[in-house]
Amino acid sequence: MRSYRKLKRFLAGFLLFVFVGGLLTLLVPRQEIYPIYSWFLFALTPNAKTRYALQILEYQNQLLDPPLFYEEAGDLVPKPRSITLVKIAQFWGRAVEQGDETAENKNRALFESNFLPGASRYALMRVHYDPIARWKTGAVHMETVRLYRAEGARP
Amino acid sequence: VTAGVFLKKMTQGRFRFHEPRPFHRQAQAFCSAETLVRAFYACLLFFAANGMGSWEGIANRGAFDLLWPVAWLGWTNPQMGASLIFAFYLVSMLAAAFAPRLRWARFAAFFGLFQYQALHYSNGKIGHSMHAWLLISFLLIFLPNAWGGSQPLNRRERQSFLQVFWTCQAFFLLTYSMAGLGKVAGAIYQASIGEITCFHPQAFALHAAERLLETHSSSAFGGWFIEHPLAGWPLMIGGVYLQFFSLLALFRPPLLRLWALGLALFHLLSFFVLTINFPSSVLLLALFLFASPFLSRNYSSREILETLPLFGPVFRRLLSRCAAS
Repeated sequence: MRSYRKLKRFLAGFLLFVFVGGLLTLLVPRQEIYPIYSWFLFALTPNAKTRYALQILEYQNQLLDPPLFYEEAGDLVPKPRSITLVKIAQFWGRAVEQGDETAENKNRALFESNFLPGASRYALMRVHYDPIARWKTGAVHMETVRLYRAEGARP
Repeated sequence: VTAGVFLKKMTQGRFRFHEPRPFHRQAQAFCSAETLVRAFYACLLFFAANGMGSWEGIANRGAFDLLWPVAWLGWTNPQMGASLIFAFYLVSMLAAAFAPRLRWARFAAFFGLFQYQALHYSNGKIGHSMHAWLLISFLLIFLPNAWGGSQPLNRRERQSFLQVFWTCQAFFLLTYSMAGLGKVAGAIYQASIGEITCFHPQAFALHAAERLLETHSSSAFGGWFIEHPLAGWPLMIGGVYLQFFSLLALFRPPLLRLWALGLALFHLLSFFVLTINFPSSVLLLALFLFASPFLSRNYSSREILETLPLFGPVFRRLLSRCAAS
């Protein structure tokens, strides 16, 4: 009977840990510590605000005129619809704004190695738009945050 | 008073669903739960076998953002370390699917999945489609050891088994409730700074447009909902309601299967509008909640309506007025 009570206490503690621990992860920069997570998926409604995006200017010796956002370069790049890259761009943009060179280099390495293999020239952009307006009219305001050039070890 | 009893007292209130033959029901529920646990590990083996095609791509990534459980890969050859993880993952899943009654096999399955998922998501963004499976595989380690052997489990051991299984259900529903809580908290925050919240008529259309724009993709109904924002409003409100009260449904048996169905539909709709696919969650809903071993009978629509969170008391009053007149 004692072991059953212990088990019940442990299981109740687990649920409490998942709840409290999950909420506490909101305080860390990435807002989760694998595999503990707040489960705050789509918690904020996307309003008209600033995001970060990656725009390709030149890829594998091919100049893009006009430049294309990575997600729009479906025929050129390996993973144009990757939500992982969307997240990386947000971490990257924030790192640049905060002057965090380590985080900037880490996200840059992830992008250049896994998403844009080969020589390229690209820009980290700050884009401001209202999602519905952009969907209907394409209206988007953008400015360059930083330009990068990758030599591309793996074509 | 344990947290479970406290929660029961808090949530059941005046709703009581008496069980006339508890010991008989315990044996029945145990049989169902045992089968579901076996099915759980069979599904994990399927996921492992199904994902083998992506292993080469994972191992040959040009750069990793190693999560803490696989930080050890930084001190070795990542390709070799990744191969070790893949091998252990596959063997552990085979072992757990073949002999889920053995605790060491269940522990190995948890550890294999823990390492594999950590490696899989060491790419800059942590996905969450297998988190529930992972943490449930952790909970299932605590099932009685060597059940289903020559010696049948006694009543206390069967109860321990069911207690662990119930906690798996509670944990899974808790994740949905936390997602609902996030949306409510997010709405309070956004309202305080004058932004559109998830309760706004345009919220669903905004989510759809944002998602489709950032991945430059299209979906079956996404464009239509963006053009007709009001059509998505009840779906958004309904989704938040469904998620927020998910855990409560576990304490109100008439609601449980209906809630699980609602959550499965929520996932399916998310795919057709937002292109977000959570098949593993749909499977878990079908496995652990559609087929919950704790439901002993079908419930009437009156019982369902009367136990609905927030609206239950209204329906109760309405229905008793109808009956009186």
